Amino acid sequence: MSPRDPGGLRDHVPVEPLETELVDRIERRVLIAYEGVEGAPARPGWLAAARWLMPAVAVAGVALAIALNLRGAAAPERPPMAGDVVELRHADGTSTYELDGAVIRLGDGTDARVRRDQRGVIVELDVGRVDCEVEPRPARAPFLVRAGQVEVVVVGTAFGVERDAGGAVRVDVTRGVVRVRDGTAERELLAGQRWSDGQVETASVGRIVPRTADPGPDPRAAAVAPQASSAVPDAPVLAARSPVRPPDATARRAAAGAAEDEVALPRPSSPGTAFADLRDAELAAILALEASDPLEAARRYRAYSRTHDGTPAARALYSETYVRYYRLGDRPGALRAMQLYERRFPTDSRSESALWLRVTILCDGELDRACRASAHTYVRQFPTGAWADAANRIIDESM
Amino acid sequence: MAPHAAYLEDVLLVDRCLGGEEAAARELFRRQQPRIHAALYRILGSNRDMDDLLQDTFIQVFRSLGGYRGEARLSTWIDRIAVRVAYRYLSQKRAAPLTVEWSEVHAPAEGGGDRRALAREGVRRLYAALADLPAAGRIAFTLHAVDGRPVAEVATIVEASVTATKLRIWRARRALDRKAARDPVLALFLERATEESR
Repeated sequence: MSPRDPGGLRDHVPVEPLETELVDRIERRVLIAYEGVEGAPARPGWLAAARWLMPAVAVAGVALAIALNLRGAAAPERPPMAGDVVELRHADGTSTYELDGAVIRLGDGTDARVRRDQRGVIVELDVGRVDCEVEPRPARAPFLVRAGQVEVVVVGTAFGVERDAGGAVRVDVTRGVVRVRDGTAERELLAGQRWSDGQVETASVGRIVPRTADPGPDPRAAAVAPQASSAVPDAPVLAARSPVRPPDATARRAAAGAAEDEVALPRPSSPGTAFADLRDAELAAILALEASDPLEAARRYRAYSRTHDGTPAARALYSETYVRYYRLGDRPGALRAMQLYERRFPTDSRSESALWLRVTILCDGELDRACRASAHTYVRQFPTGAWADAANRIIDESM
Repeated sequence: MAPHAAYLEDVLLVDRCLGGEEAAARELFRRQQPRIHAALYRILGSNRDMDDLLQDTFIQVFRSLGGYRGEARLSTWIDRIAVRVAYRYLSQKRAAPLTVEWSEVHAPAEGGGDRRALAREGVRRLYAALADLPAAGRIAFTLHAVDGRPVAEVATIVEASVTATKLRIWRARRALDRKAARDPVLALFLERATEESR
């Protein structure tokens, strides 16, 4: 009965894909560990300089904080290091440089320098390309990239800035939001957008299904118990084999009923009752606001998460994701809120409901690799979880 | 790619890594990661520690890169490291074996959805059955039967003789046969795999 030939079972054991972000994270960790290995090749000169710069930054920060405290002023989180400049020059290949919560990658033949001054961390790009991955910086110095007269201001995001020998600048945002200033003009760029010579283009990202028409019954009024495999009437609908669905298809679908090739996904748990446990009046007030003004509620959740820590802040970000997706139909906004939640609360974000909310958002549209990988991640973590059946359906449909 | 060209490419890539070129280290990771992930997956099945194992493997690879003599293809050399990581993981996991209730489950009926469900359940049971095997036997079997490598290549990777490797595969197969005799879902899964591989 057992297969005798080599690979007899190969086609019957499909390999679960790993999420791209996870692979990137592994790659980063491996490369960082590699640089730390004894006997590993020496770092480039500027990196060696960075090694002593970081302790110096810390020492200067402490000294400044003490000085300011003595004067009764509030101590800033960032130490001004006017005059400290690290040259980043790399003629061949690429290099990665880490500083103050940011990972900066230099492209081939890039000339740049990084400095700290009262404005924050500034990367000055002369020529070439820098790709930056910047953690949210609520308590850190601002992070800027300056390419000629173009300035890119970052909150917490991943993006690339390119400047050719003629001085033309291009900015690509892969995650989060950045502000691009060119002289007096200023534009805000979202993930998937590109700025070039004052013009903004939007890359072809997955389409958005608006949900504002009928947000359905308030899930927080219902029991919070996960709704196993039974789909709620207004659950997001997954176009299983029709990757692109125009936005106005939602209304048609609502009138005609879901098509046969569409899979209704059950909703993740509403975080509503968690607020009751927390006994937090502010969160309860935002929750009450959701019905009348979901956009303002989403903003307030974000603001709340900035000023709080721990479980309350995690619940606020989860709620923002939930409201943006289910009430506002703002899929990119929901994904950004989810990414923020994952970065700030990596343990919390592995909770069952959070993982399922992520699957729901990512699978809203094309059953692509990201959708499939997120479903696999859910099943790996919760093989008998409340939404395992639905996740397995996604995996099956996409096989 | 001709064998010589591939070999030369391996050696040059390693040289660039050892010369401190980060782009080369990144290239090595990106080139080998999907293959190593697939191999680890086929040895261990669905596993929540997969990212840690993948990371461990590549950290070991980069730590040992100076010891790569070019006597084998770089991919084979990295496979050996991955297998050692998997072996260590399986040996440590042995303290907490996975238990599955066979008797209460029946083989699902035919049909498109059921067929997929059977395939998924079959994979789960295959790996539950493999969990009871010694690590060396499980690795040899999965590399051969699931990852599709010839016995001689498996022997090279697990650093054992061809005869010893054949014996491990045979024992694993026999153990699976015994499990399948008591588990209709596993039996049906293996039977279909055999039919379709003919």
